[in-house]
Amino acid sequence: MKTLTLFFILCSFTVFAEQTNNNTNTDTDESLITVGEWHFSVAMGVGERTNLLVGSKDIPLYFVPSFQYYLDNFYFDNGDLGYTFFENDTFVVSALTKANSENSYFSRWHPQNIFDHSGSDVGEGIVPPEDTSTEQINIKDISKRKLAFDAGIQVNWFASENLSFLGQLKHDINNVYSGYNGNIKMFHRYTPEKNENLSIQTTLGFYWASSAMIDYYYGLDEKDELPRENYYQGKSSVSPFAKIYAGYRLNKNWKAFFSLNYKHLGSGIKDSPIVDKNYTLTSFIGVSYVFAQ
Amino acid sequence: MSLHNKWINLIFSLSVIALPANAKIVNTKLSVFSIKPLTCVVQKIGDVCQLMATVRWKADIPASLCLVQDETKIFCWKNKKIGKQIIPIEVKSTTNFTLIDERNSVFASQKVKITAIQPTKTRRRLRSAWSIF
Repeated sequence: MKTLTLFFILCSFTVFAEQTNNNTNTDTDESLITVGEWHFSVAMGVGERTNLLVGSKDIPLYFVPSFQYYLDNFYFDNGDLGYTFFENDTFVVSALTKANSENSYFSRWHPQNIFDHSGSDVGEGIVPPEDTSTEQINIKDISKRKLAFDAGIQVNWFASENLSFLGQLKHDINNVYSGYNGNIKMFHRYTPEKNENLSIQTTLGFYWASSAMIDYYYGLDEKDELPRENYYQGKSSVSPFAKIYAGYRLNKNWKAFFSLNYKHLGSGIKDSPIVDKNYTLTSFIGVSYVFAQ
Repeated sequence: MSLHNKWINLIFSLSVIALPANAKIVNTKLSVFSIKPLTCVVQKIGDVCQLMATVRWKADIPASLCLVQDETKIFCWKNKKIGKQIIPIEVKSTTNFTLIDERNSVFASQKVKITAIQPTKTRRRLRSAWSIF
């Protein structure tokens, strides 16, 4: 029903755009951003993010904002606060800090969950008693997983106009888990010559986290006040992911798009007793509106 | 008020309406005021534009007038019916030039616009669009 409603909304926007498309801006290149101007967009539609915690409800997405502000060196991009200290035609090297996203599965108040309107707590599931030898685990009963702020280095490699790579290595700066995490991504953009309003972007990569980080969020020990048979020692983990994004510019401000992001969880995470998935999937279909461009 | 006075008032009002909108009569009537060039081209917004501006004005009776850039007098003429001067000026953004008399009454104004070859500076975005999904 949601999908059907959205389909009609998208059709309406398409008709609206065809009628008002005199102002279509095909020069708009999303890989470039104007220095010194704020950029604010809102995505509206239907989407969902898998909650990997045992028995937990998936996180609905209806309304998602996006905010960027770039200066010559400084930048803020959807939660990433960075400073570029080296840039040439091909490479950009920046120092950055951001909130660690792992906590978003445990806390309703993580920045990533601000626009979750489900009204439910994020991690509110319990382990179904499949194995009688294992006590039920209520996610609410395990010790609190704190929000970590990471800082580190990011390298962007712009191999060609449509192909780029990104690498990050970060460490928490507020002594929450005292470990590292990082990722490497390959990003490709395709825009058909005959229809520059269409853009298809694919991202492939993997996410790595050190044993300290996995153990803090997904490990179980005496601090969780559980029977010893539930204890779990988190291990360093590599999670590959793939993402596809397709957007169609309707006019200067409106765009219809969908996005699908699949992450296969590394064994260090999925073997945890508080995780009952071996993947996470984030999907969204809707429209976006750009307030300033 | 007599019919005669009404006619005088009407003629005076029409003569004011017939003048250019940006020219104001006090005692002197100004028929010409121009600053050239009207536009200055810079490499990028924020750059200072230096130019030699040609300022011309013509009044019906001799007048003492000054050219003002923002709040600063940059050139004055004493008891002239015609003013013509080449003045070096510097502008960083679109600037209003005014011609005032000794009582600071504004006779006319003219804007000099700034246009940049590179109107906006861009840089490569370091995250992909909607990477939060």
